[in-house]
Amino acid sequence: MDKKISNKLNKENFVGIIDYGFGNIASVKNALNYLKIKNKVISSPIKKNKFSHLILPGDGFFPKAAQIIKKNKWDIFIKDFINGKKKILGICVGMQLLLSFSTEGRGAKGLNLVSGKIEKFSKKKNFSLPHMGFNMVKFNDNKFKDLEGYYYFIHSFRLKKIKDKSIVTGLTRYSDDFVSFFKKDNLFGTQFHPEKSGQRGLIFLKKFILD
Amino acid sequence: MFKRIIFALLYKENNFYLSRNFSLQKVGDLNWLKNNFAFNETCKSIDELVCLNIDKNVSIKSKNNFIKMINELRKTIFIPLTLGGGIKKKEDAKLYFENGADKISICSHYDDIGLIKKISEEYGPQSISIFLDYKKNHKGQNSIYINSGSSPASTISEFFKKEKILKLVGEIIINSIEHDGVGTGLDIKVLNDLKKIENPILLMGGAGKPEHFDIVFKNSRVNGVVTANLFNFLGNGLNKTREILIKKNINVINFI
Repeated sequence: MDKKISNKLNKENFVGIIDYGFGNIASVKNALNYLKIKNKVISSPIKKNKFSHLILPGDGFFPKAAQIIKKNKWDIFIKDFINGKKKILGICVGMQLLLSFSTEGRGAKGLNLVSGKIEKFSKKKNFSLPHMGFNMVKFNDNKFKDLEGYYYFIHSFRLKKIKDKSIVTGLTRYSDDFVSFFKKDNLFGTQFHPEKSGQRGLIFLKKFILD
Repeated sequence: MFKRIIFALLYKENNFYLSRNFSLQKVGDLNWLKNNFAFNETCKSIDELVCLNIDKNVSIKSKNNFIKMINELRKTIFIPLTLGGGIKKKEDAKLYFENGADKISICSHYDDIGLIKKISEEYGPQSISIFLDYKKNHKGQNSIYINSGSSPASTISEFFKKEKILKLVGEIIINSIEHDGVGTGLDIKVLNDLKKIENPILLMGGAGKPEHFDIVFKNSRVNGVVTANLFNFLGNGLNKTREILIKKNINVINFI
């Protein structure tokens, strides 16, 4: 693993961090500041923006997060951004929101940018829920292969499988395998929290932005 | 699942404290922690960090200073963070979540189902940990003590019959007042009172050397150990502990 974190301010990229009231916005911001990557937290969609990347963080209850994201028209903003061929990273519930549907609570629709369903882990002995803590992410994407290792998870619902297997770039095992990292063109999603995964996570974020 | 080694910082009025059987000793402020204790290095070898505001009556000023300290700490530390102390209403939890908490710890209000339900519905059960201080009562039962260990509440086994609350929360941190800061080993017997629950269990109080982690990690019900002992694990003490546990085939993460 390349452990170097540059001290030079990176001005070429400008990352927008979506603040829709869910998730650890400041942790993502602190991580980008630490990486010397220009960033801005936005609490409402900005039509004309100069962002090179977007990050959609997230923690919490899917149905409520999905409701707010649609109510405040973040869905349109995100879709426009992706159509502009720019990269977006969804983290945890932020990643789950990119899928079609989650069974959490009474069930709710996501943004349907990736088809697939978020479901609760099946109950098994010795696998307490939530799945919480560091766990191994096995990458099958050449670009990220050298960052394979332990990342931080905290969730009870997961993406067991995606129809389009070619977009699965990382798998993690917790009682059974689930998708912990996917890449569909310029759309990235991680079930783990890179901003909470120590040095390795910081380098993952750096790679998402600079590569 | 991996066994977790978690560090807890006890904070009150701009300083960090060592606790021994719940009597407190001031050790220094955040600069002290970073400079003399090389805390940023320590954080590379722990799974998570817990910060508790242990002020008995958390005033607005005390709350603000705590948050200020947390926000300073978070500029250089990128690991999971649990914040606790003085959560009496949903807004208190919200303040912590908005200031970097991945999880919050509910201490004295562990029994307040209304409060817990409100937080759980908004942030998810996994983001709530129940933090219980306990010691033996006059009948020899493990009993929960609230308000910084000063007021007895229900026994542990009584509390863990409350399935409704347990479904609304994630992990349970169970802190032995009698083992607190002594460094002679953790109280593994308390697990007898926790047999029926499914929530992850973190034991706290008494970890003084690597063997203490080894013993409790062999028990499948223990998901992690929390230590607040700044001096027993000074410098790379926790990193060495991790190395020893890996050699003994204990399922802890090798972060290197």
